[in-house]
Amino acid sequence: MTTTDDAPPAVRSAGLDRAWATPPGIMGWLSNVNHKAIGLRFIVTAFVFMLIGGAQAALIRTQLIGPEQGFLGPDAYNEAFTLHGTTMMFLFAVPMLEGLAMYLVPLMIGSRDLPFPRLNAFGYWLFLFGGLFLYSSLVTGSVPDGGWFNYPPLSGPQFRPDTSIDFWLLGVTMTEIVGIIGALELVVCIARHRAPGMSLNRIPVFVWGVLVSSVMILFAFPPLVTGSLLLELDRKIGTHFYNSVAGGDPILWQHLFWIFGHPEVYIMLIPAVGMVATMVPTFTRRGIVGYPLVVVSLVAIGFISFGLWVHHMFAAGLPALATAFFTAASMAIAIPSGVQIFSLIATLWRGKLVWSTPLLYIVGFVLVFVLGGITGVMVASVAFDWQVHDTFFVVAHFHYVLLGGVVLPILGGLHYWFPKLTGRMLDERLGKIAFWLIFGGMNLTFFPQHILGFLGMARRVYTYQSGLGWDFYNFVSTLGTYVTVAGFLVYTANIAVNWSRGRPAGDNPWDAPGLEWATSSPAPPYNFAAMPTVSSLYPLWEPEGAAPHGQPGLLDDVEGERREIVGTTILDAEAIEILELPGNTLWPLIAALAIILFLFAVMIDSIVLGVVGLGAVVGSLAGWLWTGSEQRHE
Amino acid sequence: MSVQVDAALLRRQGVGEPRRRPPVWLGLLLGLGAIATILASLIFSYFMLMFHGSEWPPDGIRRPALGTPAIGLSVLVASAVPILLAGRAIGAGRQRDLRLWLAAATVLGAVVLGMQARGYAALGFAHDVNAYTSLFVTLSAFHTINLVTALIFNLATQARAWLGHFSAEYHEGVRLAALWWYWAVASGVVLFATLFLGPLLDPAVQ
Repeated sequence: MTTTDDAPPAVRSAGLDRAWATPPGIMGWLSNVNHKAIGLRFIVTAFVFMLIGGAQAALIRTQLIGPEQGFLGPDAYNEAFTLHGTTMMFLFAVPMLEGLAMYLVPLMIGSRDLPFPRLNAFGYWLFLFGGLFLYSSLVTGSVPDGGWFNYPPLSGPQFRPDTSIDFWLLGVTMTEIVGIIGALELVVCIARHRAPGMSLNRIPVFVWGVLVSSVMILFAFPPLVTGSLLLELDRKIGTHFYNSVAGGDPILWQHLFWIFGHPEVYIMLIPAVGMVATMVPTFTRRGIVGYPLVVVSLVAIGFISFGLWVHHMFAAGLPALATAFFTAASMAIAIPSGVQIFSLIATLWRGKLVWSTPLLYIVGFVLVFVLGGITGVMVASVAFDWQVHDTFFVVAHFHYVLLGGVVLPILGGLHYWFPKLTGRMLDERLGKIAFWLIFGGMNLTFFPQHILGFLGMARRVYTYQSGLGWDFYNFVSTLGTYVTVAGFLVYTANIAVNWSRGRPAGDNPWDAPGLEWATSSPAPPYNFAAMPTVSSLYPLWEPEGAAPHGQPGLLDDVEGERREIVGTTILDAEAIEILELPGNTLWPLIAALAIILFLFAVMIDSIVLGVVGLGAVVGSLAGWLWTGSEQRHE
Repeated sequence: MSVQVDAALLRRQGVGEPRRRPPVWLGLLLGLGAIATILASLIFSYFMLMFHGSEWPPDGIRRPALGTPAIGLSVLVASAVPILLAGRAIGAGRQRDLRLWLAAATVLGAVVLGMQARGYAALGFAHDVNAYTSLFVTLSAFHTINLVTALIFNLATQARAWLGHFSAEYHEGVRLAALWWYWAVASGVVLFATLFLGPLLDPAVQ
């Protein structure tokens, strides 16, 4: 990284401070559009939803601790597993990963913000309100209970005439739209905002992962948006898309859901793998082995994952040719996944290991994800799938994949980037205790569930009789859940205690190679006083080193207090223009509130309120767009 | 090898010549990609349910007549021409031509919208008869919403054109409105093929 001139730094950053300042007080907070503020809000909100989803898991397992328990009862059990799955998939995993990406990607690629800061803020408000909207069903007593994949006809107007499923459909659709908005931002940011010199072969693996998963979101989420819209129309105005009596077909929902649902797994996994591959050099003191192969395999997984969805429908009675094709595709995706795992193992093998907490999570990821992957190859076979379909074997499989492939990397990543987010270090001892409790607890929870599946225990049934040989495994599984919960409590306490009182971190506490560590922790609103330039995949490990932040250089002066960044070309990251970003505004918040108003009008069938809400949506969007992209008309 | 970039040079370049497509253009293109996937999902639904049924349209509903919709489609496709010319006009700094062509596109778009409204009125069935009518109305409404959005976008762009917001160098707003307009045209062509030609693929039709 180099800079281009040598005027005194102090004078210049004052202008930057003014251009990028957020006014103090509540209005400043509400109107803030900076990627770090918004990203952090996503991370914190998603973390809270994760704790809520975890509590629901504990309720589920407590109900199953022994045969014929009456702790929850069938209805509450249905609601608990529905909310657990929905919360973890829609309100935790994707928002958490996008939040981390929103926070870290501009720092990692040497930019100052995301390309559409107001859209970003809008996404956060919509996410928050969408989550609250879904959970407001608890207040009405009409809680979604159709499972996280919400199959009709169970979720259709005939069998679920109350509002429970409407809360689910509208709430989930909002989080889907948030996902699409975030994906747009991130793709354009990675395409056009990279630091001069950061050509494709110098992009950190996490950023590659975010790019691939964001492109996937753009094409995977719309089918579910469509499916949900059609189901809501069936429920509200009497259409017949899923009504087999009038020419519709409930299997259509299964297709639309899983065309979303299977890529969704990889949408979560790919950035998580990227996170691990970006952390691993720091703790092995060497570059990742086979960087190009890792990147190519990420892209390959992105493509193949769109050809797998029918393996969720092997028991739905589809033609044998279709199931055979999807079996082959499901097995094929193990190949690029294997490339990544072997690359990580090779890097660990060849490196000098530094056993800090994030490395534990990295190794935990490899172990648990491999186990989940192996059972994945097993259920890819139709013959095997028919034996274990809808049993606890499948529950065990996907929890291994998601806890190992997504949650452990996220927890490790939060531990690793916590100093960048807060300027403070997490406690290493507490961090390790939390890891071992979570790692041990989750294995204790889910390993016995494989056996329960073989023994024929069906998922989504609120209790079971004794004498089936299931009691012991269920008991162990529930104990494991309690251990996991203890681990999460320690993890959360570690964050709570050290958020403002932890040991000051300094700029680069791990001696990491990535650009995000080239500025202060936390970074100033403009990230870099001078825009960095890059000549390596590991810029901070180059002999020339990185210029200390605050040193003068590219765009360290501001013209007319504009928020300026460098726009670069997609392939070679050649600087071609100076882009200006919009500043703080309340319009995104107002627009999100208007949308919520409209949705509530739909819920209570109020045409007047609906018209008011729709008018407010159009009005707020007009107010927002009027000051749109044409910042520099002259 | 280090990378040298001169900010002053970039600023001069930015002002001196028409800019390349800005990031927001790429953003809208990707957003349209997502919306096009919604369209693809709707069409998937249409054909999946069509091939499930024994007759299409079912329940004695007549196949939709091609005539008027085909004329509407021609007008819709023709409306892309003034949009193209509007972009060329502002690229050359001709403000008056910009306003003229945008207005011409609005007129053509409004004609199509009027024809669609008449089409709905003459439909002879509602959305809640069976899966076919549900699909027909929903897919048609999808296009109407796209077209109305394109018109609103276009009208706002005209207002800004009158206020002199655009120049030969900076006219992102015109580019974005044009992109949305092209989307409304393209999705109209695809939906016409689905709703009016699609039933001919039904094996029961001879």
